[in-house]
Amino acid sequence: MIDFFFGLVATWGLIIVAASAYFSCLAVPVPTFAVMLSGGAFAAAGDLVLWQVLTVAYVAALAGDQTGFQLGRLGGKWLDKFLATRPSRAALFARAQVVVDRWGSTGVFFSTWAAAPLGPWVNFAAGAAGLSTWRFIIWDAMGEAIWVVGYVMLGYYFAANLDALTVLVADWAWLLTAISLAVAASFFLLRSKQ
Amino acid sequence: MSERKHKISERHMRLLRRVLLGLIALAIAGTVVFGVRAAISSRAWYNAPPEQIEGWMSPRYIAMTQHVPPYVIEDTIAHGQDLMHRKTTLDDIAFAQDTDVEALIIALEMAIADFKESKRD
Repeated sequence: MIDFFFGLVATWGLIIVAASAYFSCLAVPVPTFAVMLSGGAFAAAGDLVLWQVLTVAYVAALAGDQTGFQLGRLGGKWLDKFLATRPSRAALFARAQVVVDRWGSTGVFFSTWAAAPLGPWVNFAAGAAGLSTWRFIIWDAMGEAIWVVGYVMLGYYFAANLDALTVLVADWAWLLTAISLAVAASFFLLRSKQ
Repeated sequence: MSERKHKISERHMRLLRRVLLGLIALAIAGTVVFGVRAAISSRAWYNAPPEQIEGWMSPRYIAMTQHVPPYVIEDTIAHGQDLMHRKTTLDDIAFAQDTDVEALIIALEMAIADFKESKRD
């Protein structure tokens, strides 16, 4: 399966890098980390140009995140109207909006690289709960810079063994996601008891 | 931002805490599972043998990973075509030449072995 995506990057290059970065931000199940690693690896081999891989991946990831955020915003408006006649649930949503207003920037930043599999859902939630667009853009841009540069450069510098690198990076990425989720959930559980 | 009252009912607060506890349990289980997997794959990475040639690889990628000059690859599979400056894979080359990709891989492995042997002499 992963080899299929390596072949696509080898043949179609930047188009696959862009499509993968964009659609993965909308929760489409694409092995984007493998595409980013292979983009870096093929740049090291001379099939692609490094700065082009970095730029295309970065712009596509930002566009994907922004699309998810705007979709969330549309959903949030609908939810707001829907909850108008349900005061108990509306209070829960209003509380979620307060939490997102306070912690949303941090969540967006870390969900783009430390807990990347959760990224699309955080984008939807941030949009739905009404996080400021400029705060989203700034923190998302900083987080995506870490994610794109990190993965592409790992592929670039360790290009000689892409298969083993992909397995290694996938395991570490999921480990980081699980730790981030444990820390965030524990933090909010402790706060809810205060 | 909504101007509704933010006070959550006790029932919803209990539900929220249960969800958070469930997430913590899931995250701890994930930390254990992926911690073990990450340790195993780190060890495998450290001891990884050189990458085998596969159908998804491009000619230039093969030259890089096998530590040979690009002409070693080109002379073996190009048959007069300029494959080193095109985005293509071994699978595509085998298809275009109406041959089996395994045959191409064997030919490449022999050419690479011959080149390395000649450098040793």
